[in-house]
Amino acid sequence: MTVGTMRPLDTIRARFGDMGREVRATPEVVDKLFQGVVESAESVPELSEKSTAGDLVKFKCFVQDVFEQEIYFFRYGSEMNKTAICCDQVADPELANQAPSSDLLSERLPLYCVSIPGRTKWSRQPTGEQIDQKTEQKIPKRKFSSDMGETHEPLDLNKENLAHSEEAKRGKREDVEMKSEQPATPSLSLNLPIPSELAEGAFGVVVKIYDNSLMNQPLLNQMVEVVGIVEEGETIENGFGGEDMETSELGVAVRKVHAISVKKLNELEAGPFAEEFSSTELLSDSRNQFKMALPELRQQLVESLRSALMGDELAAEYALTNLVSRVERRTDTMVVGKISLNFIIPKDLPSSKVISTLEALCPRVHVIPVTIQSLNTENFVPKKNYAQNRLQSSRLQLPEGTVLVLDETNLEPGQLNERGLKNLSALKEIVTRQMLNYDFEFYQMEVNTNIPVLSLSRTKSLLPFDDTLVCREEAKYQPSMASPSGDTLRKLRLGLTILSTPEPAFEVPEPVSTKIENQFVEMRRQFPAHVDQDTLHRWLSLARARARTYGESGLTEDRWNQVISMYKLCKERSS
Amino acid sequence: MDLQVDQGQFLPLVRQYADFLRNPDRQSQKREAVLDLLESGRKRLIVSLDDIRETEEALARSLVDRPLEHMMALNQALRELIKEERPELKDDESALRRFHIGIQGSLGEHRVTPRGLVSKLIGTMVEIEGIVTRVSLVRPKLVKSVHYNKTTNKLVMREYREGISGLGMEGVFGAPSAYLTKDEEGNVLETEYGKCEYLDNQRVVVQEMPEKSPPGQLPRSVDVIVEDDLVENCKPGDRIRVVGIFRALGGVTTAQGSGVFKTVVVANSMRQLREDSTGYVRITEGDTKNIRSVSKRNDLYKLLFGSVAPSICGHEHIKKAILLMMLGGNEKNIGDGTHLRGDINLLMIGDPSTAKSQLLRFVMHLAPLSVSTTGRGSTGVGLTAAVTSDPDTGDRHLEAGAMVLADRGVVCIDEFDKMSDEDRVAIHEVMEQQTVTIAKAGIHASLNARCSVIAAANPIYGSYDTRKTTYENSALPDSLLSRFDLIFTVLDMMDEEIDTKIATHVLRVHQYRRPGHDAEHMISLDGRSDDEDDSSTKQQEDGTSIVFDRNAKKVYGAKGRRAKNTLSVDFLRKYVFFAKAKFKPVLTPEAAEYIAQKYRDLRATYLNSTLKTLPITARCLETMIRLSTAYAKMRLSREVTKDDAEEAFAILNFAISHQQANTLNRKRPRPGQIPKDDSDHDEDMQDVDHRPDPPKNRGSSKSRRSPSPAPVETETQEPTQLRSDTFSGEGTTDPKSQQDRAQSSAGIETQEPEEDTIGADDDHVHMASPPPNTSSQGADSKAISEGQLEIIKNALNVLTKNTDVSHRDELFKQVKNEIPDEAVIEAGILRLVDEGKIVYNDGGIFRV
Repeated sequence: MTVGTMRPLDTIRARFGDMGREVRATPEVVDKLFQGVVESAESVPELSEKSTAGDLVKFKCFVQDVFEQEIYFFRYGSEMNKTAICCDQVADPELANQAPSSDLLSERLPLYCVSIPGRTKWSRQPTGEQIDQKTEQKIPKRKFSSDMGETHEPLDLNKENLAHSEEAKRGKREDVEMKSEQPATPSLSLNLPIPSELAEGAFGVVVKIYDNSLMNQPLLNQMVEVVGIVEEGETIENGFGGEDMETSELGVAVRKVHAISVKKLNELEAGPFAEEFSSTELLSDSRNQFKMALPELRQQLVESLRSALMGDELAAEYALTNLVSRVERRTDTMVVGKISLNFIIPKDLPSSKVISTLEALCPRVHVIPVTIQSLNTENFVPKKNYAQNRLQSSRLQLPEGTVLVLDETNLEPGQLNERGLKNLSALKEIVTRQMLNYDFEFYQMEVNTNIPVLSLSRTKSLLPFDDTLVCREEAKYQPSMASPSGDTLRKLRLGLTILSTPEPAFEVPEPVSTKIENQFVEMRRQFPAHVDQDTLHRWLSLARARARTYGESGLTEDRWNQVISMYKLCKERSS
Repeated sequence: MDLQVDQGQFLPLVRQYADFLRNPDRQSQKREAVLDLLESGRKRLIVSLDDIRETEEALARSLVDRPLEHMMALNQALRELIKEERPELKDDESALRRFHIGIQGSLGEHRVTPRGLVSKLIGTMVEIEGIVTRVSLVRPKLVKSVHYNKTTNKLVMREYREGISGLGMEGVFGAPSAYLTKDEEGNVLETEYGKCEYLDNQRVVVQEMPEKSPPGQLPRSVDVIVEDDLVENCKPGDRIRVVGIFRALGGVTTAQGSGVFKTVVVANSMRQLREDSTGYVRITEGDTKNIRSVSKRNDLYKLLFGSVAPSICGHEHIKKAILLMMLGGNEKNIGDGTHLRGDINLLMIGDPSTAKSQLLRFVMHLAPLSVSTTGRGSTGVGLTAAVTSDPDTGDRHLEAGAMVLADRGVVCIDEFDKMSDEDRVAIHEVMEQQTVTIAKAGIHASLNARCSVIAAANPIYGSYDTRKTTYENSALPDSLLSRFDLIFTVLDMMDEEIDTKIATHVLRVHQYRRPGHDAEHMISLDGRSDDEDDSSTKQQEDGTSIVFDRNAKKVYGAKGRRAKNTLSVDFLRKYVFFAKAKFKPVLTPEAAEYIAQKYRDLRATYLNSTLKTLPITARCLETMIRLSTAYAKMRLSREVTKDDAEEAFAILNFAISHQQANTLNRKRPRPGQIPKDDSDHDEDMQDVDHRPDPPKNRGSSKSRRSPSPAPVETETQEPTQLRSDTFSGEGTTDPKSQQDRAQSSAGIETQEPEEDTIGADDDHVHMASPPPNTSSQGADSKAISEGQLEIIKNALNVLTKNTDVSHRDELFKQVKNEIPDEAVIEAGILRLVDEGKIVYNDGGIFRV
């Protein structure tokens, strides 16, 4: 471990001092300041309870919100050799007397990050479990309990505390203090997409980034790995914590981390097998190795899904394609690659059985029980809370590749209220177009999602799924293996992860595409009521995902035929 | 303090600005403006930066770069001038203090969105635009406090400048900002509140406009401080443009040594973008040149229409209508309070998944101001307006719905059919009078809602029943339907050729090669993000848009022709905006004559027609005028010519006859077309709208094939009536008028689509059936060969022998061996109906 990692802030400051007084805050200069502070990410310890202010840490997280840009003193002091970079609280009288002038300043962007939502138990194991537990202990219980209950309550936007005169300011401060005593104060708390994860030790961190090029990229809902310097923070002040506008306070202590490097993670890198594929060569290596073992592995995957689905092989095949399907591309009319699936499961198959199998296999799964109650009371749509200037999270704010399971088995007839309708249409947007309209009060903002959706219901779902399959018990079915052992399970998980990783290309060779065209025209002639552009689109998405489950990056005629017969079987069952 | 102004430099500055304001030979007549200001009682003189720049460029530059001292000098200069004009105000400092300068004009690089407010702009003049998300209460800010000293029995006065406003000279230089409580000797001071002076002060949060924020990124916002006359000028949801000074607030000096401080924009002028729609689109000189040159192209129409939603194939007429809607007609306000709407309203009814919503999305993207909503309204306020009560105070508020928010813009309403009952009542008013009147809960208000409406409705039974009228399909009353200028039915098409093309298209979309696993690149194929992604290439430095869409080729495949001919959305937006804003064409007498003539014709046809699919009312006349005007605007012309009127009529007629054709479920020959557009039809699949619409899922294939011929040869009244139950779209039939129409149309060669439809009736009656063995699409019925006629004749014989059955299905069974093709049987049945031999109703067959 270098000296830099021990006292990174000192290193940066010393380096800044050496640079001379005229240095301006260009991206190159900032890069230079940070260079070498992190020699290799591996040597940096994970963010944990033990990390204290000034420590260099790393962690993986999910960007839930992007706050307002901040402007800070890049250099100051009589000698212009001091910097306030990577530090919010600088106890330096020289800074206090410094007049802000544009050539001294630079900007940074605070992100609000939470632990990656939706991770299943096994996939959470390897990383920073220890911090989570302790963070919880540190924070007064009272706040949590009150906040948890209120995450979905309507937020009071009228609590404006605007004060301009000194007196009012004082009064307001008391007011705020007083309010924080009352458990009824609405607060977004940690604002976790999945509130129940709080009990499982989810954390929230404000990450301040300095990289200009990164600031202009879409960061919302990304999974990132941050290496940075910890700074203790008591409350989050977001954007306008000015004297006159009410500051938005989290009411929960979260740390601030000044990021020295931020890396956007893809599904694989964010997942539990990240280490094993730390380089692309490794990935392609294991891909090749994996190809050898694939037929058997695939069979095992199907088998374990099958055992969860009462032996229904067709359903297992469908489920597997669903799990590996990802949005590959969007045009203005089509979303390519996504498959949303509705399984109508028999009465005697509890949905929990299917869900637990999925949770055992997939690194990230989120289950939403769809009932009249949940639809009418919860809020599925992320909403901009202008009073606190934060994006209020929802269960549908999920990182890519999270398998979304809609458990409709307990849905009874009943009355939906306005919120229920909104929630339902939010689910519909995800099911049909893989996007969600975030509520910005005055307008909606379309945010693309990339989460395979599987719905379990007793009757046909009320959402328009791409395919609906009636699951059937196969009487003769004998589970070929007991529940898979630790090692097999690991292999299956790894296999599924690799299969879910998009390949660089997907090709439909000429003869196959000609055949598809002809078949489409023919089928459309035969079943004009059932076959249209969307159907073809669906078939191709299915074919694409199915090819992927075999580790293929192109479509063969065989796969195409299999898909058509799967489709036909599926249709036959539902008629 | 951060403000160190050298008196020695400041006074000359004041002089310089005073000279500028006084300068009598300036075309903008500043002195008169000042006098006007004094007369009117307003407090803010708007100075154009461009004027200053014209006089002295360096001055304008330093005004932008160092606005604190310059604005102060400028304000001071204004006050000096006022002193000269109004000597009585000379000593009234507090009155003088109320006069301000507001800056407007081109700020170049300093025109940014809240996202663009970076550190290097601190301390400079900026122009930001955005949507207001929060407005604080108006607070009085102490400007001058007066204190009474009990001990000395004297009044002490102090002025406060917290370094925010830079509002005037007094007290700027080193004024202490602590509030006085004691004098130097430590005597207690009592504040004389009544003698203190205050200034209204308000904080407004301005957020980046949704259409300007880069895709996938959250919008950012900034605090704006407005003072004095600018307060209460905006409310949440407004789109505004603010010019002001971007300032760092003293977080450093007050907070405990934090390296971070707050930034605000201190406004000196604010404009609502809605009131002045030029706010949305900035057209540079280069743009104007490009627009003019495009408008002179021969293929102007084709080019413009082709650039509307190029990724959606077909629906050519709807695309035309969309563009015309964006252009709009001319609004007229007649002295007696009559408001004649200039906005064009469109309705699309049709099968689900037929690109209706996609077209709406394109409109959202193209229109400078658009509000998207669903029939239910996304906020509970509904479409029009609602009185809501504050949960805390119980105060009543008037809350604007989508149509009011879209005033002077476009409102896109999806699922129009699912409107609430209150809205349905209210929308009648909105769509014609363009106001929303609220009289409820003690609030009586009339709000403007001058917007174009583009709505999409799903048919009431899930899929469009071609045997029913538009009304029956949509469950929207005629009174509401008539408020739409154009109504299109969007049906699912079927045609082998089109199908193949669709297949190719879908396949192409599904194949891809991902360059370096770059997820962003994938998204860039989406039309919308495309624009923003490479905005650097799309816009030249001064903001001039690239005319042609370079990506079109990439996205729409190898069709070179189309790729070449697609305008970029940016440019199209500017073109439409330019044409709409600058041109108010007037009707030429010939055009007026033509429109009147066509209206008479339509009206006559309508009254005689049995096909009352769409009411032809006086509104149609206005529609025609609006459409013609829009066409004239498109040519950037100041006159509406007969040609425009003809084009307009063609599209109106298409909408009307298309309805009828769909209702009749019959092949309608291609209408006498808009000539410039004709070349398109053959080479692409754009023209699906023209094609016959017997689509895929309209009932069984049997009923689809029934050609339901117009009963020209009907002999008895009764069967016709029964038949009209089956094909309820046709209403009751007056055989005589049918005959008349058929005859009158015989003389007219395919000139107008309306007549064509009738002409086609004849064909059908004589041919009686689509050919057997064709695809269900039923190719052109004109192409029926002799041999096929023979088959039908045979079929008829068989059928005549078997008419003792009482149901169609029985008949099918009976004659199965002789006639395998059910369509032929179906056709035969209808032929028998026509001949009066049987009555056929809902599958049941009765002998006459």
